[in-house]
Amino acid sequence: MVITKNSKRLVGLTLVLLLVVICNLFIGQVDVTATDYWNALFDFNAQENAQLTARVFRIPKVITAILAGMALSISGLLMQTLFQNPLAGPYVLGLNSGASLLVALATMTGFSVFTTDLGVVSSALIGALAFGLLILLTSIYVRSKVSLLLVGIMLGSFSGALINIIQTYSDANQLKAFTLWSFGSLSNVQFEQLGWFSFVILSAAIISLLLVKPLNILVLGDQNAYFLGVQIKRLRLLIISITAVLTGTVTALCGPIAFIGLAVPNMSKLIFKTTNHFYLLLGSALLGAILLLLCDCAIQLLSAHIAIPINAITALIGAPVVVWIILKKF
Amino acid sequence: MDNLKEILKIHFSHSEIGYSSCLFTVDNVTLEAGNVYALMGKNGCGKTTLLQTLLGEQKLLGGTIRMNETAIQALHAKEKTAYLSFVPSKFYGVQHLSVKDLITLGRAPFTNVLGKLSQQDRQRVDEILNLLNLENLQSKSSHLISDGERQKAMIGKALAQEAAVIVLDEPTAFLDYSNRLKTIKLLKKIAKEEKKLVLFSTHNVDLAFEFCDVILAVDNTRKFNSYYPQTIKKEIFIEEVY
Repeated sequence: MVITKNSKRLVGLTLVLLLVVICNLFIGQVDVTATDYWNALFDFNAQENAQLTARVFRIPKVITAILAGMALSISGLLMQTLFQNPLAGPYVLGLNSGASLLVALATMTGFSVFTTDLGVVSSALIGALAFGLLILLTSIYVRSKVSLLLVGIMLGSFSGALINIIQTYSDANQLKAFTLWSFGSLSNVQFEQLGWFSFVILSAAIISLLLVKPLNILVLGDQNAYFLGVQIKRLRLLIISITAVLTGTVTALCGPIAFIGLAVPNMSKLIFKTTNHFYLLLGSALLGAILLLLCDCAIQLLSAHIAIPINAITALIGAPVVVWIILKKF
Repeated sequence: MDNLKEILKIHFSHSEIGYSSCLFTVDNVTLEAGNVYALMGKNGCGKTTLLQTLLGEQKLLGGTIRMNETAIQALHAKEKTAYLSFVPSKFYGVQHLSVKDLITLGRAPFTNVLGKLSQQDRQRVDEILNLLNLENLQSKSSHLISDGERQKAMIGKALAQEAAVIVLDEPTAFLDYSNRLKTIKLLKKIAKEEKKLVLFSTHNVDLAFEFCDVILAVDNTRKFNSYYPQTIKKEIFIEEVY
């Protein structure tokens, strides 16, 4: 088998990811050594401060950053291919808003069913899926790419308004919890939650890899894809479900993280210069993980001077990228 | 194509064509592989609807259309890709999608779930690049080439699919004179050498008369007729149809 340029690029990105993971593990106010990490994982002693830091804070945060970065980037890429729109993404098209709305309902209206992990995650999933289906339905009637984005933004405003109303009726503690959640954070995931979190994200990622062939054909447009045997309706539903699972899970655990899903797939297309979704999916996943870890590094390095929520950093990086895409392509 | 045992025929019988109400009826018309058919008529007469009905995107309002012995409604998605390929009137190209990759996508019905290409797939793509004289453009991005070249690449994609019928919606509408001529000549060559059934809609009377075997047209009285360019004068045809 010939080793192509793009395979080399994938290997390169994997190395960069490893490097960033290592950087991320060893910066911060507490010094944690490699031995501490080893012990934290396989021979945990809760009395040791360094091990505690490793197990409670650093390891969950790094893995969360990797999973969230992968998930958001993959769903961004899937949506961009589905709607044939380089500006599509789970945030712009309202999937995040749907998840946020349902999480707001769940956390602030005080139904105890929703206070469990499963409760929050499933309400975020339902929200993301409902808004995803709404956008999908709209896309069938609204042919213009710009209009579809506007509909997504309106969905965002609409659910934002509903969230405001809910907020005025909720008590101070719930309001605080929700507001902190909405800033976005990679530190909310507990060590014990990592197992099912990875399982959900990796399964969805693997399923999307099985869709490489129809996705590659879909770039020709719905009609051309149909005549090459792609079952468009089934594919659309599948894509929306996968993105809802990816976005919903991440949003429930980390809050609504903006722009990663939009910016990363475009960076990946720029690097790989192909429409082959095998490379684009893996590339986006790696780049998304790298980017979120870098954002977190920046937060750590600046933490002595200023506390920045993750959502602010991703927007600071993402917004210029979006403007650049608009100037270049639209 | 030698692996098709019988020559493909499309037979229309009492086929009622239209969106909700019947625009015209195609009765007792048979199209055969190896020929080029031009579909003509005024704007809004239902040309596109006929193509869509044949392709299964629009419901047949009455009667039957058969591919050899099978009614088109009964074709499975898989069978459809073996019978029908389609080239839209306008394709804008896709960034980073090379001409070769575009044509290779036409092999999709033959590849497995992961889209792995066999030796035969690659060979067929190379043959098509050669046939269409696209070899020197093969690594160029499909959105950076000219309209004529892109049209050719899309025809290449349809050929790679190895369907017996190639349907084209106004393939010459966005092309300049020399590219129109080249495209139609190419379609003729494909029909004769590859034994395909080529059916395309067009408004170009001169080229249709010069290169097509049969002209199918909806006339002024909304009747569907077949015209043979050898036996009818262009002026009379224009009088009847336009």
